[in-house]
Amino acid sequence: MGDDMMSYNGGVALAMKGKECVAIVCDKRYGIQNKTVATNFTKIFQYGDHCFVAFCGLATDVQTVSERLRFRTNLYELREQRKLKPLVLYNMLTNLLYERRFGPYFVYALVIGLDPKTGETYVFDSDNIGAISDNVNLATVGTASDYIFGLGELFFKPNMNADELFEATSQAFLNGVDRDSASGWGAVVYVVEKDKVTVRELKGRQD
Amino acid sequence: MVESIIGIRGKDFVILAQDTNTTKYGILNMKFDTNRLFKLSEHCAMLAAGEPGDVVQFAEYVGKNIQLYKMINGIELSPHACANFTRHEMATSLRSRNSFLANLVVGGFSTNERDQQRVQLYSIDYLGAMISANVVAHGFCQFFALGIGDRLWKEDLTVEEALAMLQIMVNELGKRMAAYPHCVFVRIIDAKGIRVLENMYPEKIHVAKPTEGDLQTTADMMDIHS
Amino acid sequence: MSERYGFSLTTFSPSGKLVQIEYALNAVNAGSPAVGIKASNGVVLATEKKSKSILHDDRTIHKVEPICKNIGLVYSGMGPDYRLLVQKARKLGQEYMLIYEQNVPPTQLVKRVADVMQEYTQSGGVRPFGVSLLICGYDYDEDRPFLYQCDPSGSYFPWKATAIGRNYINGKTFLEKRYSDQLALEDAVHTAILTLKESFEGQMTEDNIEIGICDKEGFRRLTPAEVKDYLAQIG
Repeated sequence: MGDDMMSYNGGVALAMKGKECVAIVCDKRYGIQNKTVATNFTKIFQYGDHCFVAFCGLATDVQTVSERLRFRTNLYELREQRKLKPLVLYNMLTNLLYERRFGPYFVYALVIGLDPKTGETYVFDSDNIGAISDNVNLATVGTASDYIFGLGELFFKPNMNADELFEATSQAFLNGVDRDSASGWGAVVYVVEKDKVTVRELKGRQD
Repeated sequence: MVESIIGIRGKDFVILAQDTNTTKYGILNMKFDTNRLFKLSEHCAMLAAGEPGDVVQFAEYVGKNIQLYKMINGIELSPHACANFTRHEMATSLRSRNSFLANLVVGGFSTNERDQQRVQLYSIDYLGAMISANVVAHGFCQFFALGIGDRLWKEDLTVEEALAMLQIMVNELGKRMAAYPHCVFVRIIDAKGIRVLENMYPEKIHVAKPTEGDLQTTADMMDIHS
Repeated sequence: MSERYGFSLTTFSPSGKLVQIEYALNAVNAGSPAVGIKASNGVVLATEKKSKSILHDDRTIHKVEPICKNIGLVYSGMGPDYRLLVQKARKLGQEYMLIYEQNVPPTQLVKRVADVMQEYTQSGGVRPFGVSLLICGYDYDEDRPFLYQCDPSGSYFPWKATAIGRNYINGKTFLEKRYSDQLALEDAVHTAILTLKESFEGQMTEDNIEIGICDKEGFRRLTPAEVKDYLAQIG
């Protein structure tokens, strides 16, 4: 059951690290199996100043999990009077997902973040039951992730600046997405740096 | 899935349209004036299609709770809030022992002047996946409605243009679907509230009478009979 | 399951006081003294640990307890009540770790322990705790030490230095005279011992006081040998 749920609505996301910058991108398609229903369905959510999470999988769970994580992070910041940090966010998310170990949400997740003081970057992924990953250079989840992973490894090089990172992320993503019929229809790229977050919309192939 | 519900977002209004057939066994029409519209508030309504029992149970549950909110707090929920509440209820029910099979269109006009987008239209499916779009639809009519919507929708759509677009959709349904809607109820929601517009009907399909020539057999042509 | 009824013993007196809580505070004030001092680079906790009989094995019971890597506790009041709170505090610390993969900040732990103590002033079938706690810890986010006091009512206060238990007023007066913001941890340990000495009856040894320190490296209880060294330095 799990597999067809994960590809029922389609969608994909990619995250990549640079030098004191980190990027995350998702597509905009929302479909029901082979039928494209909407092309404005983004899957990236912001939690705190320098943290973003992308959810891929069953659309209803993308929305439910993102809302439940918002609920918990808001309470965390109120209770502890502190800003959310990437590692805390990631652990909260995997914890949330594992709570449904035997009746899981059908979403895979990417978590990215940046420490504005040190410039340290974070990229994590998780499966639908909250398996934790290392802090990696490159991670991708969703229906086109197999294609994008290869391209991502090809385009990635260590210590890219923000512009290079944007280019590498976008190229890997757009070209990967074109090979998958369940994702695409434009993309949104977030590039997080110490002092700013840049959001760019990519058109991509509309078919 | 043979039931059709459609929502169109215009410049300062939304149109909510629905077919009126109640079918049984997938082949019989039982009723031709079915109402699928549920009023949520003075400026917000919901179209629902799916398993008949679930539709009524769910729509009324959501509708009553939204009305209760207004009684308790003295302010109306915006269509945006109504849609998010409805989605939440749907997503929660999905993971309960018995879930509802209902696809929904929630549309309305926000009475809050500070809202950037006061005309709000949402589509929620039985899983609880919600999207906001200019044209939304559920059922087999989605195939036609979304395509026609993509082609004809534009910014600052007027009521006339929206109704013309809807008529094209309805004609297409009448022409191409075996279980087509005999009649379509149309409602509009704008600053003045919810109003009922004239019923819409699919265009009659005219087919030319077959000629005598069509009855000719090869034998006729070869003049064998004479 | 039969219906359970519980009536809170802690009920308002006509004047608006909760006398049960006041009685609990009396139990605290009759308990052996404890001192806490926050230095610039850490915190020290110290307490009297007098045994009732010379046959007691002093070195196997403790009043200063570690809660997690960066937090420790000491109390004045009733020992058994304290053990329950230590157990709960440790569990709260680990629950936090489970969710956030991070040491619980002292402020958070104090809040949660205080919530437990508050619950025992309002629930049915229970009585308030007969202890006040001194909780010290190091907050790695803010990169500074913290010292808190938790009372039976569930209220808590952050301190630079304070004393609880028997003779706490004298202890606090002494600390007011001795405290300085620039105090280093080593000096704070001396000050803590001197504060205890103010009301100490008999000879102070490494076996009848207990000391815990907390800095960047974490919380630890001083060994009797270390305590002995400090006592020798004071003379």
